[in-house]
Formats: sequence, structure tokens, C-alpha cells
Amino acid sequence: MAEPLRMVVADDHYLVREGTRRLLETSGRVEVVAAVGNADELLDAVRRFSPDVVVTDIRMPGGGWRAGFEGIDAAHAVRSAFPGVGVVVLSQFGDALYAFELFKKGTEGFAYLLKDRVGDLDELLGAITAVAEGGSVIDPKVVEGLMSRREVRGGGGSPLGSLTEREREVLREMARGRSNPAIGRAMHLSLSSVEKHVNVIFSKLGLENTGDVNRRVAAVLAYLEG
Amino acid sequence: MRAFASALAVLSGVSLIIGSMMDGNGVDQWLFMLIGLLTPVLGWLITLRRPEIPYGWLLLATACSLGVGTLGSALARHAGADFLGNGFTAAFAVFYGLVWVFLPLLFPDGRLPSRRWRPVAWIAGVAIALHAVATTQSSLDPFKQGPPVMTGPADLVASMVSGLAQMVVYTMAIVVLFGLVVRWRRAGAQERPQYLWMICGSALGVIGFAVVLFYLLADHLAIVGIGTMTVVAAVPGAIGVALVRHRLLDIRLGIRGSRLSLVFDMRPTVSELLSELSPELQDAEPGEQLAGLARAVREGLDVRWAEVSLTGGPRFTAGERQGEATVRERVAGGLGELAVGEKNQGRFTAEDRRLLHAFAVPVGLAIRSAALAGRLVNAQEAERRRLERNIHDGVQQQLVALIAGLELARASGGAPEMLPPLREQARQTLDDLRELAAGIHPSVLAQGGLVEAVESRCARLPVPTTVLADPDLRAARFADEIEGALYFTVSEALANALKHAAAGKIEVRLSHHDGRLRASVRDDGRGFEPSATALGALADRLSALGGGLEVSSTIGEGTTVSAWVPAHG
Repeated sequence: MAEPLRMVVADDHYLVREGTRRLLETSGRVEVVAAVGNADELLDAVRRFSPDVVVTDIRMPGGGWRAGFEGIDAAHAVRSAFPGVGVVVLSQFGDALYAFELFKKGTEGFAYLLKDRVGDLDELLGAITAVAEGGSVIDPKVVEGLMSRREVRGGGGSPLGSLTEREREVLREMARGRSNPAIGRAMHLSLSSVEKHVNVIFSKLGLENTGDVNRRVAAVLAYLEG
Repeated sequence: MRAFASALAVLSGVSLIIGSMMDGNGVDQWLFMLIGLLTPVLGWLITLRRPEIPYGWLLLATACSLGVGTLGSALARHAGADFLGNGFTAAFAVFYGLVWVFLPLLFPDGRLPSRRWRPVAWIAGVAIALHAVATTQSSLDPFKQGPPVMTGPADLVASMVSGLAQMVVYTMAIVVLFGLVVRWRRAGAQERPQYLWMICGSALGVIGFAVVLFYLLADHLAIVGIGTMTVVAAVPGAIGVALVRHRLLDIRLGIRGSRLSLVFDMRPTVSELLSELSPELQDAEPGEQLAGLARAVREGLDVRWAEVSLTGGPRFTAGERQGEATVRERVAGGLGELAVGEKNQGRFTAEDRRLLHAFAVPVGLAIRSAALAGRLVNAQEAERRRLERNIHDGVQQQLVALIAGLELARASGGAPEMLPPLREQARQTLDDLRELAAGIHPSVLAQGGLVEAVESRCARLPVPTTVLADPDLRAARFADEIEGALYFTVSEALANALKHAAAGKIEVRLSHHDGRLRASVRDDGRGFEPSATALGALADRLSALGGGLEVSSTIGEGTTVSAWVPAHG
């Protein structure tokens, strides 16, 4: 087994912070080197421990940060000072606004998960591993929110409406940050049919296809942001 | 207007003083001067306070004619009956006419008592004019001793006309005096003393002239002087007394508070009362506003008590309420009532009613805003109760079930297959709580603004929904209460469309132009009776912000709810 990933956990709520820490340590796949209560302490801990990944709450009152966006701003601060550190933001909000706020400067190394994912250790560890490798992950519920918002946004029939149910599912998986083989595994499809769906989707939405997963996520998000 | 009144008063005062000084420096001249000044002072006071009432101007005109006449007769005596002297002396004719006929006739407010008096006014007016014109042409000097000297036939005619006209005016004065007696007998309790004083003044003036005429012929100059002064002083004196003692024209003279100086404690006009009120009402709570208005009504109308009440709600009373209300006035379309007790002095006059009517306007506005505030508070209470029920029936019960489930798992040895359903249950609770929190106040509204929040809300609806927003509105932010009111209106309208209208498609429009932020929700549902919704509380919320709500619904064709709030930015 590979070396455990070194992590910092940040949440202003003590029970959530300790619960998350213990949950992650139980897996034996990560080592929590620090658990902190606000954005300033988080940056301090990253500087001192050079972790592989940070898991942070979205809202941690205190400090000179934008109220309500402390976790997202700290995530950006971490990534710009330490580009090798992956960041998982845990959020209470499924609204598209916060996800776009996190991904506005690129998706690489960022994950945006709803807080209930702490009840799904495999999913959480998957996101942690992905961001540690520079990938990106978006909670399926949030992707659902992004897509609905795009559809709600008026201006004469969204092209999303022209996608088949299967294609919408593939788009959701792409937006979540999955690669074609991962999509195939999740949807029980062959790699070639996934590729076919992806091509159709991109031509229907008028997007340029790209092999790079991160650039693909960025393109899908940019499309969804409208 | 005020400057003009002051100028007239000064003109008459100055010419009177100069005229009397030219005639000598005796005690009688000083006395004449003082008595003569009564008229301009009275006229000036009344026009100053009530410029809209012609009576003050009439008094000023009387004063001017007296002043100019005095100056004229003095000039005539010193420089001979030249054009200037005679011309000015003619003003005396006008003075007599006004003081004998028109001051008593038009008493107390400057209007004819009835149309029947018109011939009297016309005859007197023409006679006064003839008297004045003839006087300018005549060399007759009533104050000159010895038999009159005529300079020619024209002079003779002029003197005859002058004397005749004066007699006509005098006759009219007696007619008017009788008229006054009739009016006195018919007058109400408050006006009677005023009329009585006027009758005395008018009678004294008429008698005074008779005395002057009689003793002038008999060459008793001292008595002539007293008679002249009676003519000059009687009517203005009577007006002065009526003013000081009987609140003529609602003007009062007295000593105010501990100050020793004489001040004019006059009844404030409606506009004065209202402008005094406005600073008091500006930042006051609705309750304080109503109490302040009740006080103002009590003071303004000089009544024992005044009460402002909301229908089926609180009452605000100034003074101690005793007995039945003398007058009641429904305000704000029946939302409230304004009631007053007896007057401290006298009875309710038409002027009092006018004042009460004027007060009804601000009282109505204050009652409307108090009623609105009351409904907003009620709506807030209802909302709290709804939330409590929601939490109690929802999340609380789910948590109890979760605890029970966990306890069961523990007691039964913690079989691993029991745990995932519990986790799902907890997740569901979290979802519900998230939804509830968003319903109380969505964080996305505070963080992302109106358009973002409305889109987020619509994205969670099970029905195809479109949000059309002005492009520049997306980044615009407004005050929290404005965004909140519109967001919750849209949210409520969406809930209605889903719950009651069974809509299949919903369209939300957000726009901002001409200083108005607008939101409208249109559905294709079955329509409903607009009154039967929870939108009433939202309408109040919008109108508290100066905005409004419109609901149009046609059975079978859908519903459009549109709300607007004034907003800049």
C-alpha cells in the first residue's frame, strides 16, 4: 500500500472537525497532521506541515476573509501558495453560486462536495485522492444544481434540452471530473460508447472536445455557468 | 401680502401723525392721534394673521382713509384749500363711509350677511363716491368757524352734493345698525357678544356724528372734538374689544406663560398646526404618531379631549375622556376614527369642523401606517409559528427516529447492515434542514443577490421553469429588505403555482428600469381567486417599502403575480 496522504482538516465546528478527522484516520489511507478551526489557522498549518490535501469547511467565521466565503478564499490562497496541495471544500450549500466561486480560477486540484459526503467514506477518499493528483471533483448533487440552473436561465430554449437522458448522465459525470474510463466503469458502458456520447454532447452544446480531463471540466463548467 | 399690509399700516399711521401734529400740539391732538392709530394697528394684526379674510384689509383701508384725510385737512388749513389739501380731505368721506356702513355691515369676516344687503352696499358705495368727489370740488370746510363762504355756483353744487351724499351714507349707517341688531338676536352664543360690541360701537359712531353736527352749528368746539373722537374710535374700539375678549376671527390677545410682555396668542391656522406637527411625526413610531396627533387635535380645536382610535384596536387619547364625543370623523376608509369632546369655550363652529377635517388627513395616514405595521408584526408572528411547527413536525421527529434507530442498533449488537439506512435517514434530515434554512433566508440571496437566488430556487422546482433577467441586473445588488421582499414574493408565488394552480410551466421575469425593481411570476395553471392566498402579508411587506403587488388570475388560464419596489443602484 502506498504512503498514507498527509492531511489538514479545517472546520469551525468542533464535533464535525473531530468526527471528520477520526473518520478519515479510520480508513488507514490518510494521516491527519492537523485539525484547525478557521481559515488563518488553516493557512498556518499548511505552511508548517506541507500536507498533500486540505479538507475545509466552506464557512468559518473570523479573520479578515469574505464572510460566508472563508473556506473558498482559503482554498484559493492555499492553491496559489502551494500548487501541489489539493483542496476539498465541504459545503452545506448545493447552490451553483458557491461551486462557481470555487472553480472560477480553474478546476485543477479542487473538489467541491456537500457535507453529507462525510457519511460516504469511499466517496470522500476518492475525492481526496483525485485532488492530490491534481484532478477535480464536484458533488453530483451540485452538478444537478448547475444543470438545472442552466436550464432555468432563460433566453430561448437551452441546448441542454436537446440532450438524451443518457447523454445528460454522461455530461453529469464529465462535470464531476471523471475521465472517460471512469465514466464507463460508473455507467457500465464500454469506453468507445462513452467516447461516442461525449462527442455528441460536445457538438450539441457547441463545445470543443479536448482529451485533457481538467480542461474538459473547465469547458463544461464554463458552459453551465452560461 | 404681509409686507403690503405693513406698508398700508405705516402709511396710514404716518399720515395720521403728521396730520395731527400740523394741527397743533395739544392734549386733544395727542388723544386723537392715539385713537386714530387703533384702526391701522387692528387692521395690521388681522391681515398679518389671517390675510385671507377681507375684514383686515377693510380695516386697513379705513385706516388709510383716516390718515390721508387727517393729513389733507391739516394741509388745507395751513396751505389753503388747494387741490392737494382738498383731494386728501376727500379721503375723510371714504373713512366715514367705511366706518359707518361697511365695517358694521361686513362684520365680522368681510362678507355680506346675505344677498338682500346688496342694494344697501351699492347705495352706500355710490353715495360715498359722490361725497368724496364732491368734497374735492368744494371749498367748504366744516371746521372753519363762521358762515360758509361760497366761491361760485359750482362750489355751491359741490357742497350740496357732498352734504346730501353724506346724509345718504348716514342713513345707510342707521339701516346697517338695525341689521346688526337683527343679526345679534339670531347669532349663536359665541358670536352674540361680538355682535353686541359691534352694535355699541356702531351706535356710538352714529350718535357721535349727530353730536358733532349739532354742536358744530352751536359752536361748542370741545363737544365737537369729543364727538369726532367718538366717530373715529367707536367702531374700531368695538372690533378691538371683540378681538381681545371674544376671540373674533379666532384671534386672541393675551399674556402668554410667565412672560410679562404682551403677546398675541392667536389660534394657529391649519397649515401652522400641520407644519408644527411634522417634525414630531417624522421619526415617531406609529403609536407615538397617533398620540401626537391626538394632542395636536386637542390643542388645535381647543377641546377637552381628543381621541384617535384604530377600529377594533388601540385608542390614543389626549386629555381625559368624558362623556360622548361631540364630533366624530371616520378616517382612512373606516380603518379608524377621530373623536373630540366638548370645546373648552363656546360651541363647535364651522371653522372647527374645517380644522377637524384637515386633521383627518394626517390622522388617516398615520392610522394606515399603524395598521400596516400591525399587520406586518402579525405576519411575522404567524411566520414564526409556521417555522416552529415545521421544525417540530419535520426535523425534530426525524432526529427522534434516528436516535431510536441508533439505540436499536446498539441494543441488538450493532449489526452492520442496520447502519446504512440510519445514515440515509440522517442525510434526509440534513436535506430537509437545508431546505428549511433556505426557506428562512437563503444564503445565496445574501451572497449572490436576487437573480442568483431566484435561479437557485427555480432550479429546485419539479416543473420546467424559466428565469428571464435583465443582463445588467445579474451583478446588481440592492438593500437586503428589497431583495428579501422580492425574493420571498417570487418564492411564495412559485409555491402557490405548484400547490394550488398545478402549473405545468412557470416563467419568472426580473427587471430594473425607471427606478423600479420588478419581479413577475407567470404560470399556466388553473388560476385561483387572488384574495385566497398568503400573498397579503407580502403585499404589506412590499407596500412598507413603497412598492406594490398585483395578482391577476383567470380561471383556467393561469396566474401572474407581479411585484415592484422602488430601487436605485
